Amino acid sequence: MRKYFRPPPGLWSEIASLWRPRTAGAGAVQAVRGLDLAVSRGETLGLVGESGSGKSTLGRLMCGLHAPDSGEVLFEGKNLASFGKKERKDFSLSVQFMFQDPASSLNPRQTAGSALAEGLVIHKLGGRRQRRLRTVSLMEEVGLSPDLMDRYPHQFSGGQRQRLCLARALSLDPALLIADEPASALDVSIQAQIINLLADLKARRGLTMVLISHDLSLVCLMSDRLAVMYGGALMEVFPRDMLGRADHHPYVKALWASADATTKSGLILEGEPPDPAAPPPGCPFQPRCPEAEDICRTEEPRPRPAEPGRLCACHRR
Amino acid sequence: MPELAPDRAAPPSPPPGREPQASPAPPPMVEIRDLSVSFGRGRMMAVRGVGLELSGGEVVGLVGESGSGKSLTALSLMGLLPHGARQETGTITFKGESLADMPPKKRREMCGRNMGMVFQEPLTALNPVLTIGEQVSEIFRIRLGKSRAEAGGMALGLLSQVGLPNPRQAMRSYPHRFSGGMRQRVVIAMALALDPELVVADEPTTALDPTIAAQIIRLLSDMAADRGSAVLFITHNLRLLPGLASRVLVMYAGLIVEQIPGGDLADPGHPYTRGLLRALPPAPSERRPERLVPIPGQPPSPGDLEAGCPFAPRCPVVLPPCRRSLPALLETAPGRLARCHRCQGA
Ligand SMILES: Nc1ncnc2c1ncn2[C@@H]1O[C@H](COP(=O)(O)OP(=O)(O)OP(=O)(O)O)[C@@H](O)[C@H]1O
Ligand SMILES: Nc1ncnc2c1ncn2[C@@H]1O[C@H](COP(=O)(O)OP(=O)(O)OP(=O)(O)O)[C@@H](O)[C@H]1O
Ligand SMILES: [Mg+2]
Ligand SMILES: [Mg+2]
Repeated sequence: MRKYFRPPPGLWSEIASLWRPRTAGAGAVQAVRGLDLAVSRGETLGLVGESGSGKSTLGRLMCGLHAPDSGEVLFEGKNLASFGKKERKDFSLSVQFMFQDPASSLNPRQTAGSALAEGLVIHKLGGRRQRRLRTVSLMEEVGLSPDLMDRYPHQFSGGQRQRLCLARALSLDPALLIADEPASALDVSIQAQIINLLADLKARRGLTMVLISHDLSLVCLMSDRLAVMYGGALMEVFPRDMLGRADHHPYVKALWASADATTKSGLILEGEPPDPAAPPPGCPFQPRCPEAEDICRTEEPRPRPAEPGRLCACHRR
Repeated sequence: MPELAPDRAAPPSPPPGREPQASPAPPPMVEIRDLSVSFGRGRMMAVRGVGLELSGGEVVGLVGESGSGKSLTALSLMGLLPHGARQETGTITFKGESLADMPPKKRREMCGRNMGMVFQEPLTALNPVLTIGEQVSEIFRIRLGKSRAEAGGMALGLLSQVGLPNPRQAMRSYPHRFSGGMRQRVVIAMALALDPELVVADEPTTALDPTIAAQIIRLLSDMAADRGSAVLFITHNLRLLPGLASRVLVMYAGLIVEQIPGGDLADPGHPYTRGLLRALPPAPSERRPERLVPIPGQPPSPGDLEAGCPFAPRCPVVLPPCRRSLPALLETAPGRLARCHRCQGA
């Protein structure tokens, strides 16, 4: 699957993109390129990687908020792009996306209570009283006092807004939750409460999750499988229990080393992150890779099975 | 409303590497005393009698419950309280000058020039209809009177310093085209643009991957160590602080409940801070527990604060006086303060 963001309007680029709709074009941002990934029912997939590597874009592609430039997104075997009206409605009931930026994903003129009830109203679920009860219990589950029901988003703290977004994403009891940084603004006690809540939903109702986060402790705690992205491509996909192999992808090793490192003594990755509009030839990580060889600079590695259940995109592995 | 004794100001520890001298300690760069902030006609107290000192060359950590008033304390310091918020009590001085007594023009001048703030939610801090380049170079044009070309060059340099890939293209982009981490780095760049003496960073690394987070943290601690800036670092990441902050302040329900040297954070005194440590998810290399242990119960809602310690209803080691009177923030050991009857040996 691929997703390119073309340069800002300006007539020339509009024409160019109409003319060559399937190529990236000069200067287009290649946010996600040539990526294949499947999520199975009931599993939690942790999606981590470099800032700007395309995680949020991939999340949006998965739930149909972006259309891919090439390739397709299948949900229960059917292409998202071919959905009819009824299928689209069912999809919006069972798949929820929680945005990375809570403040801008909430309607500033809508109180917390009505934001939480909105999905129920749209899908005509429950009566007034039931909706009210559901809203109260959602707020309690994410540790917000129901007293705050009539407040507007700007009257909350950053972490309170984030919990409001999570509660809204859970309001329709989704089968698949794609959560982009669901706990980054929370103190660790409330974070623990949220993690336990999601673990319960997974155990009780078989909630499937794609968890996008920079917090490796959190991702490792919650995920069954981890997918690591760099420069719009997948570097490695592996079951959580395989973490710590000596033969991880070099970027995976660098990422975990910098997370474990303390401030001063930390191993910091040398070099610049890749420019998505002009990705380097060959492997996206090659310019910063301590193990790069000639082939890495010319040929892009495809993810290959390294052992059962584990894919690694590296010429050296 | 329970009565509050103002927080006792603690002398900052001398910066590492320098001999403590007999001469009197230099006055702190920033001093907040007894700061209270309320909403809605003074009924809801969001910040209650907070006191805090920052000296040049020092990184101080501010942690605590979500909704405890950390951002409001930071915003008060910058003179940027949101609409509807009112400062009830307290004084804030910067290099000995009271901010409230300053003419508004001078105060606006200082904001950005002498003090820089990294806002918690980057997207809301950026103007959606201006390019990143326009927003960053505007600072140099307006504050330093630079020409368009000069300002553009300075903006470019600044953006590469915070690790943005292809800063030249970034200059021409609008904020919504950026990933979360890219926006956060722009906001950091804008706060540091004029080399401020005081940097207030409200969760500056939450949207950054660990390698870039480490780079930003190094940038901030270098500002303190090499240029003598004071840094107030608000975070939920307790693992980060021991190596970074000389002191850590812990907030709960609008109050500072503990102050502790960064290096001692693994062994706090206050039961709330202890609860936080127990709730910490294990490091990736450690074994996965069955369940995490949040602090039981819910924080009080700001509308109904009762007399006594606000943590008492959730405290595992509560004593009878805790429910009657709010403990003061007192020294429990050298360099350590706690607002806790039990820590104070009641
Ligand atoms: N609407 C858009 N228009 C143009 N470019 C975009 C748009 N949205 C994202 N991009 C670009 O696509 C790339 C990937 O962005 P994405 O938001 O997916 O990154 P991410 O992995 O989520 O990063 P972060 O961890 O910082 O949130 C970035 O280079 C970004 O600038
Ligand atoms: N405009 C407002 N009107 C009413 N209450 C408000 C308003 N803004 C903030 N509050 C309340 O003030 C309290 C403190 O908010 P603040 O943003 O300082 O919290 P915080 O410690 O930064 O939390 P977080 O870690 O979640 O960002 C919160 O309980 C919040 O609900
Ligand atoms: Mg993102
Ligand atoms: Mg805050």
